[in-house]
Amino acid sequence: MRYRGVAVCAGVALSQSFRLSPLPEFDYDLRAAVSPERAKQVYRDASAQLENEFRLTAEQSGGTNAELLEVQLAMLNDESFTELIGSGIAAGYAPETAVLRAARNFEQMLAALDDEYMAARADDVRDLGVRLACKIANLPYPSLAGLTEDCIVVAHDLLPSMLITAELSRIRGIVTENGTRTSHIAILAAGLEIPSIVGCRGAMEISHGELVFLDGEHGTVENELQTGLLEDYRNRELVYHRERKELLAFAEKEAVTRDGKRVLVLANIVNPLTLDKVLNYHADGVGLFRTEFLYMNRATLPTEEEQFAIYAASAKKLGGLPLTIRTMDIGGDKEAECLHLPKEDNPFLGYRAVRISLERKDVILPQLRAILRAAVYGEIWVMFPMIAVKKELDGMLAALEEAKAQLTGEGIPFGKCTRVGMMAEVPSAVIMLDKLAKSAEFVSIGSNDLTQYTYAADRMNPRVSYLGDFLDPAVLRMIKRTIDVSAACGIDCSLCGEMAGDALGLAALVALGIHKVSVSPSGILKTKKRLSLVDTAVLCGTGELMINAEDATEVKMHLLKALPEDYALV
Amino acid sequence: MFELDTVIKNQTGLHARPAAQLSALCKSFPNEITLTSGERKVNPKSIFSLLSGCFVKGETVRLSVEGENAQEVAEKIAAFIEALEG
Repeated sequence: MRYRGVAVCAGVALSQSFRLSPLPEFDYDLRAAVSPERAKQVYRDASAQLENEFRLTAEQSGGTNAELLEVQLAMLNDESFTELIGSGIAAGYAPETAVLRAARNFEQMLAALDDEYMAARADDVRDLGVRLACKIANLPYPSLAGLTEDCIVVAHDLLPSMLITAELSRIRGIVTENGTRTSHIAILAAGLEIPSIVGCRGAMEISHGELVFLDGEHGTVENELQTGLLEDYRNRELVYHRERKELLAFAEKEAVTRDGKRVLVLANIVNPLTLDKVLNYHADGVGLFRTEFLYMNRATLPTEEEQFAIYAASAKKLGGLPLTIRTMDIGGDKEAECLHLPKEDNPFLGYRAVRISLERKDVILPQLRAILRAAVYGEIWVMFPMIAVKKELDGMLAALEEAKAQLTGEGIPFGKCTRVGMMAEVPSAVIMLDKLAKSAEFVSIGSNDLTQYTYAADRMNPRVSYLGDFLDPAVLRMIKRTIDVSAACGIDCSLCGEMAGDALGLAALVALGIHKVSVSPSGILKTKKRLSLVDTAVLCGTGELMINAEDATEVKMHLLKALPEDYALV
Repeated sequence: MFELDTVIKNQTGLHARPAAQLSALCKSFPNEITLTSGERKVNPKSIFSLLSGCFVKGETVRLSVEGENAQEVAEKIAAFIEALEG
């Protein structure tokens, strides 16, 4: 059986499962069976015991672990927390109930702040509440502290302190039924680089001690493994460990080719949470910040303040590295309730991105204002998606000026966006780029959409998937034109899209003369390693051969000839 | 009352560990202390109150201290905020 969830940390693991016993179920309305004085004493004793445990664990462990314990310790002794528990007990609640209710109160307060860091702190206080309640009620708090064998932890709900106090050297992977990408457990697991999946429905059907295979990159976990495939799983795991070690060596290095040419490697992010990885892996900034997540799964539009907080925090965090924010690109395959868009038969060719923004001032002005205000705090580039004709670019530039005029009029400070540019993903824009480049200060090639629009083939439709190879000369000519025209017009050109994250795709881009790519955070190290293996002088001649090739097969042949043998394995 | 402006310089702002450490320091003084930035006003002795302020790197915060040795206390806290790491 294969279960699917949200992939939060890549990597593979083959190991026996360790099924964590579920959290006790508490009654949030339980009344005290003892006097309030006695209840208060029970709570104080448990709290003191937990504090001792925290101090002991903090001394024994370090890093992230000590940090969580320090935060939870501060929460445990916080006056507003203890006061709320006191009043719960005075109102007649059982001590564990008073604790849980107080913890829930602060959990909700922190979760409502709508800040990713605070969502993690909300998990911390919930965790603390459950731990303290278990102690008071004499119930076992699910623990991973005594693990003696390697395992993949399978849990309904894994709380931060369970992971922190766990015997981490034994944990090869994590699968939880609950949780989302922003849960503290997801952040912790990614930080510890433990292959993990959250939100994996049905995973608790896996038996304790059963051999399972976890694929943290694709977000799947399998049980009831066939004996014949075990060797294959084992090999995949071995290869993963070897590669991981080699890749980590590239974290500190600048991205340069074998012959010493610097290529900028930036990151595509969908969420500010991944910025840690961008910094840890020393990427050259963010080449694409997708803002669609702000519009998804909600009934109302995101406010200017909400967007400003996210953009400003991200810009600050990058400390001077560029943050390229792409304005709203809803439409196509992404649905957003808050925009009330009618369903379309052909969404990829329909009402999407700037086509919406140009008509909907209520959508684009708050976003542009938030971006401009955030530009006070760092280097922000702003990028418009799906530009097809110059009129659209001019319209978006006018909207940007309108946002500036509004802010000036209202006396609200804002910064100058370092550069204002556009995506090159619609063939008409590529063909007319020499005209568009007069108004754009940079272009970023969106290889996924440019490929599907070049072939007129829906990339979501498996029947026409044979028309999707970005290594076909048709696509390569589009890209070459974009690179060459940008250079001639003196504007910056980069590529964000799956092509840069593909081994041969990256080599083809270098052959065509690209000097800047943007890849997913988990692909940063791989991209740096690949670049270290290619020689621009050798690939230079290949560029011409590729452009004049008949099809993708011939392109691949030329590329493989120009690349070292071990290149394609990276 | 003594007032002092200070800038948050550490990467993550007054989140998580910095908030825990700052609340512990403030609790060691008997004085009434507040931290303000714009319309956000918090009690830095409480980690929950501090977290609710969502103070980020680069932000200027105003520290107000009441009672005895107000200036000395404010300067100690400001020095601590400026030296925060992580």
